[in-house]
Amino acid sequence: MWQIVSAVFLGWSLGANHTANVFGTAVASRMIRFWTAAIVCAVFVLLGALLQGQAGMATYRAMAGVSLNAAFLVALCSALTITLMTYLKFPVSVSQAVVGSLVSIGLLEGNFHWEVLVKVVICWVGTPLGGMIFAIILYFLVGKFMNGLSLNLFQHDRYLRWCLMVVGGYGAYALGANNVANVTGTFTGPGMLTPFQACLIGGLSIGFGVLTYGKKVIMTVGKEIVRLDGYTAFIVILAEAITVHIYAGIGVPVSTSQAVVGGVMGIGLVKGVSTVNLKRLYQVFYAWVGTPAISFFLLYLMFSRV
Amino acid sequence: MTIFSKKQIEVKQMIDTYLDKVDSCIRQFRDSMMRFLVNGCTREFIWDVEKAHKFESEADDLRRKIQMTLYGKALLPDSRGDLLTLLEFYDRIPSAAEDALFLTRILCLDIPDDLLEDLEKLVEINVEAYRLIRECMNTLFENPHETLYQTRGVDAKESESDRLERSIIERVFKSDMATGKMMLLKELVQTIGQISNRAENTADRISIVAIKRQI
Repeated sequence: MWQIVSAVFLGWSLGANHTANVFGTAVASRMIRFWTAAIVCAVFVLLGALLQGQAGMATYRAMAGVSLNAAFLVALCSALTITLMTYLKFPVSVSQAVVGSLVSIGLLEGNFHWEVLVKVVICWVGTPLGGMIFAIILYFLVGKFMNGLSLNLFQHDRYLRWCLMVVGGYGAYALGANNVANVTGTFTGPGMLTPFQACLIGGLSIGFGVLTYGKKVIMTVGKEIVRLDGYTAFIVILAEAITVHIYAGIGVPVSTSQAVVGGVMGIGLVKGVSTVNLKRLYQVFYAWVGTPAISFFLLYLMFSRV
Repeated sequence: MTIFSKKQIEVKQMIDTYLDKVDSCIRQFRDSMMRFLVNGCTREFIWDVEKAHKFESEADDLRRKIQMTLYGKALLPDSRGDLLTLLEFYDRIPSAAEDALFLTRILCLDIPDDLLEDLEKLVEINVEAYRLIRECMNTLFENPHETLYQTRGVDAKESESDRLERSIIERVFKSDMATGKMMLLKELVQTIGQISNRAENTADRISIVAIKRQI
């Protein structure tokens, strides 16, 4: 089954690009060594994929049942879209690239189910909103708890460091659970991979991306989240992890980056400052529309030439 | 398992040693000034000034060492920045004490008898302002929220010092001493008063660090 190579490539790029959303703060500020974060991240991504990754795969199967060769094309076009967009420094979301390709192949093969797409798009819009709402609630709840502890300067620092480590692990788990469907979800049709095999291969390839290329991305993307202080960064990552985890339960792969943007906006609302500029909001909107559109047309072009 | 990391324990120990060194410097400042006000510019006084300088420069070296350790990522960036700024402010207090002693030594002024008592009082008030800021530092490393009440004491001492400085300067300028001596005495009084001024600035920094940790 050589076709799985494109899924592994997609998983690798997903892992490389998304480590920053869960361990960016801790690693970019050098609180946690990259290798400690990478190993924790890879292990929890795999755990998330194996324990809770199957719901998202069921959604993709319901959206458009595809053949092995079509699954190969979906993963390849998504991976190419992500690589191209990353190279051009455009914002990109793996979930949205995969859905764009799936819509394209579904329409071309005449077995696309629009009602599933509606559910997915609603969840996309709900992702930054979820991140924002959870960030606001958590900011006050966790803050009240931490104020009650009366920690000194060093204790405060130490607890925060542990919190970032734990929430990074949870974020990685949610990432694996939610996003593994993007990698191998389309390969779970009849005569292809079993859901467990798909989760295992998907989880391993994301983990491989984290370990081999995560450092470079974490140092650039992570610094953007570092501008928050330790506590608010912790809240943003926790809000993102909870949001993404909930969507993993619902079975809709969503963008972790957009959950982070929502979380940062929530912090801005609580503190009465502008934390997200118009450019960032444009990037989210672009990812909703531009990314699926590009992968849609890329697959359309490839399919018509095959 | 301890709640502090190895590097944090190292930083905390260095800070404690640094604070002890500053204590010694201020203690030496007080003893030296009292010796000067009683005996004048004696050889013992000059020797005392050297001792204070030695403590100040040792404290300075320690602060630089703490800086280097902190830049070696011992704390979260936010805590690191707060601590570095705070130590920078705190370090200006022994520098003020050293400046006052140095000025006293080079001027070797003959202090009029009617000013002696007030100058002694001025030294005591400024040393007291330091003692209060030292307590605030201890509390900051124990329970930051408590410092918000303590820093008010430093503010009160600074105001007391200010009032006494103005009163001494007024009396100096109303006296019949030479204008040059008046100017030098004014400078000496204001330099001593710098200790409580800088203690107050440090208190403000401590309050900011504490408030930032209130969510």
